Amino acid sequence: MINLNLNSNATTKSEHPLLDQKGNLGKRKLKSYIFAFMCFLATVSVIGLIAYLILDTYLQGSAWINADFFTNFASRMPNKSGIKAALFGTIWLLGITALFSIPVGVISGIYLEELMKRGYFHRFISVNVSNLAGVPSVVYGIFGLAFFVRMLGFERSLLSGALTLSLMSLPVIIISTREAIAAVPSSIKMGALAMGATKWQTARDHIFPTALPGILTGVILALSRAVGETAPLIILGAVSFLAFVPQGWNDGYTALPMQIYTWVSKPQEEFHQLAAATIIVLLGVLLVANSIAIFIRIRSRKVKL
Amino acid sequence: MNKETVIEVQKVGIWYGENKAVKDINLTIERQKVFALIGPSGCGKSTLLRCFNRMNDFVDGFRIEGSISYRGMNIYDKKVDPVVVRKCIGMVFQKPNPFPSSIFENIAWAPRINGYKGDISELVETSLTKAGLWKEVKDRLKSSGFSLSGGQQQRLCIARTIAMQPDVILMDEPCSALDPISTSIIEELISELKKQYSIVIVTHSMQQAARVSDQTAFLFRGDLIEMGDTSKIFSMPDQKLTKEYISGKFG
Ligand SMILES: Nc1ncnc2c1ncn2[C@@H]1O[C@H](COP(=O)(O)OP(=O)(O)OP(=O)(O)O)[C@@H](O)[C@H]1O
Ligand SMILES: [Mg+2]
Repeated sequence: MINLNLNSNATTKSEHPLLDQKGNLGKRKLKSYIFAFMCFLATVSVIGLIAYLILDTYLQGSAWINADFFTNFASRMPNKSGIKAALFGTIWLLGITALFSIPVGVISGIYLEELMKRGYFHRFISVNVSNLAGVPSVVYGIFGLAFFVRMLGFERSLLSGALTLSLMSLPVIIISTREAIAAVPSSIKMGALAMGATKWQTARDHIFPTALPGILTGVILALSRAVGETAPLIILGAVSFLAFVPQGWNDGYTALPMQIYTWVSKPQEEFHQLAAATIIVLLGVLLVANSIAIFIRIRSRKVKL
Repeated sequence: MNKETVIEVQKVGIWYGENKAVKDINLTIERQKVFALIGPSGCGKSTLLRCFNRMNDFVDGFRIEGSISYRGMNIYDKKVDPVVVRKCIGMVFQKPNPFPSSIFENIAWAPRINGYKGDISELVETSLTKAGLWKEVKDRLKSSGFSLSGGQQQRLCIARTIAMQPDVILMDEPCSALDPISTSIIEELISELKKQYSIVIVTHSMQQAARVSDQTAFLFRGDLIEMGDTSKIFSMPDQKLTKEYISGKFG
């Protein structure tokens, strides 16, 4: 039957049906090419722009990066200037911020998504967390100034800065934790609950490990943003010239973005180059932090599959 | 054989919001027997089954009236903790759902969180043996549960349920995602398991219900049409509707 049909087709159209190019096939293919090309263009332009920026920064600043740059404090003279205080300040800030925002954010995310009763109050909190994610960092700075610096009397210390940055990171961590948890297949959850596990045991042993890669992505995003912030630190009174490395949470501090900001606003060209060098270091810090997170992600995946 | 009742369903109506999915039914499930729930799609089999270990508690808008008693105690009583209910009444799902961890961990997890005092490795071995999976996996207990075939995964899920040492095992279409050979392995397993456990199974396959069950209940649009010994239901049912359904007139 089928063979016969093919033969009759072949005689009338003198062509194999698989080679038939008639109809709107050409138009459909063209559209698909155009779409692919536009995606390519968008990707290339973004990557090109970033590559240009990094290259430009590198060309300007790379000559200044040497051992002295890391061991000197900021100075009036460009060739005696370094980022020791700022680098340590940023590491301190990153550490304390991570210490506060990761546990609080992740646990809040788990609670909101898994454990809390749905209802009016739940919706109220969800909407507000989303709104807080969109609040400009200056506003967090002002809040931190009023609350941590003044009301709680933490002064212009690392702790005030880190707590403010923590608050700023929390919404992003909470939202991405919730999304990562919502993406865990409900069959796993139901399987665990059906074995007589409590909600907490299910969340701890199955939902959290499965959601970990997604949670880490959110944590990286939030902390990267926090570490690059200048505005709230200016408001909170991070100092721009500091001739010591902070020794504890209650010390004064400066940070890499503060240092960049200070140097960029100077008239001398050398300071601009120093700022570029500092940007490279800041990118390096972010790269290290991200690599750690990616390492944890790969580890956690290996255990699973 | 003694005819001890494990689960007694009395005037149970089940609601999802405004929709009444199960309408005032009465059932008795006996100890160490296989009880089959059959009926066309959407008739409320899964709904009823999920009420036996309170898995419907997680559904928004779920409401139940009447009582479901397990060994004389209403499982929906205020004093009863659903976590304990699920420990006594285990469940195997339609789609195999192993945990994303090793074969060993899949089984060891529930006993561990429930504070099992004995030797966990031994329990893993006996559970896998009872589920007929031990020979196939004994050399790869550390590999992921996902690395097993669908049929093996389902037996892993059965083994994991056995490891909690429940009294009743609920199975919601446990073979619907499996090939004929895996299906027959699981059916043999069910006949083996009923020596120790009471089993309630939902199935779409008449042959399966006829092969494995001792008693059958036929549900239709939320109503219990007929319930009785499987041999009787399949040879001379009282109701015309039952007869039409098992002879495949509709489905
Ligand atoms: N989570 C739910 N929320 C709302 N309604 C539901 C829910 N689960 C089931 N229902 C409704 O309850 C009725 C019975 O569904 P149920 O899943 O128990 O059918 P079933 O007999 O298991 O069908 P199938 O053989 O297709 O699995 C259906 O009308 C269904 O739409
Ligand atoms: Mg069902």
